[in-house]
Amino acid sequence: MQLATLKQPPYTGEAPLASCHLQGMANILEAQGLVDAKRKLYLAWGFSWDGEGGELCNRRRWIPLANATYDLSIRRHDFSSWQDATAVETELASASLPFVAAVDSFYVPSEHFQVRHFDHTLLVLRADLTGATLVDPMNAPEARHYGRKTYELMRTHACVPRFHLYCSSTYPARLTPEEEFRRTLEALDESIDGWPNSIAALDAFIDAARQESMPIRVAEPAAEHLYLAGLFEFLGEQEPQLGEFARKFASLSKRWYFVHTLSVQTETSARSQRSRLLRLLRDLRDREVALHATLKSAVRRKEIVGRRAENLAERQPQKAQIRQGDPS
Amino acid sequence: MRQKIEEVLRTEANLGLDPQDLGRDVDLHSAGMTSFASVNVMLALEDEFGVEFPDRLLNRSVFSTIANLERALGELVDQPAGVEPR
Repeated sequence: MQLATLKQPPYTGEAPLASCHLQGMANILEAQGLVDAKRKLYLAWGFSWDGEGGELCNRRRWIPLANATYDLSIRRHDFSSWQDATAVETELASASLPFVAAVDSFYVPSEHFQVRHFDHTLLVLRADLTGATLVDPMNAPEARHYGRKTYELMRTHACVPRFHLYCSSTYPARLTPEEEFRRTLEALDESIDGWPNSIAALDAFIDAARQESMPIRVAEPAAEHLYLAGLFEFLGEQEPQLGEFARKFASLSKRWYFVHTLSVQTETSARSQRSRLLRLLRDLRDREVALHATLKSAVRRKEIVGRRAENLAERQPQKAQIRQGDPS
Repeated sequence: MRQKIEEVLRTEANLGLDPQDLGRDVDLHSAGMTSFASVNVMLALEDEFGVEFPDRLLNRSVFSTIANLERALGELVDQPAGVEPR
């Protein structure tokens, strides 16, 4: 893996809320050999809600789908103690594996530097007893070394959920464009088929949001749609009829971010925005359902299904050749 | 109306320069207003003018220039009572 390339990562600049870890992982996967990783890594579309609190999410479905599509081993680690986190970081360092770590941006150059405590993620090229070499693709995309004490402070502040980190320890599969296209659509099929559960979760969330006291946090769906826009831009280069969905997902991303920002900004204001937020959420729900119907129809069009069947037929003889070659 | 809009932009938009120096058709996002700040601008304009932007006017284009804001607010402020409820 070209670890040195991470000192000047390809994906830099503003990462909207709830997407900085995706930017970080895209950089790692690109260094590990997944070309155009930022547009390819996010393959999940849906909603999940745990029934409590105000956070709408998708249970990190993107991780197993990316792993299945590209034979990766992306994992998110959550720890109950800093000691446990340190043990895993030491293992990663001994294997020369970079990772994306959650930090308190109070301690790193950013708009929050020494102003407020705010969770963020960035690349850790190496962390050991002497300190850590970090690259923040969003705020300061060059390698900087921090002493152990400062690194521990930024990793262990209360705003950092469970000292979590993301890593991947296997090289991506080398796929032909046709195989990649087929696998990507298989991953999307999972979201399309799982839609009834997604809409049920979204409906339950919107229903609960009628309570004035419930915070509305929808930054994760906003980030998800942003990355899906990139995915469909990529797919559109192979199948133009899929490219139109890039614009639709980008538009939905902006709407989800607007709802999130409006909710956060007005939480303590005198004038309630609840009825407006509910109206916007219901509108989003309708748009999501409409998009699902057209996307399902698009990916299951005869010519696309035919392309996928051809890929499968081409693959099967290869599988047979491998078995014939096995020693008896 | 323009003066009130400028005052709101001055306090909420985080622009790189004084709104008074901006042309009516200058893109506010290019001048430094983020999506985050545009939400604050929207809320402040609603408070200032006693209106609520309807969903059809909640788009980037409306908040892209002072001219577009003037047009949108002019439409909302001129509406008879009850047509655009808050």
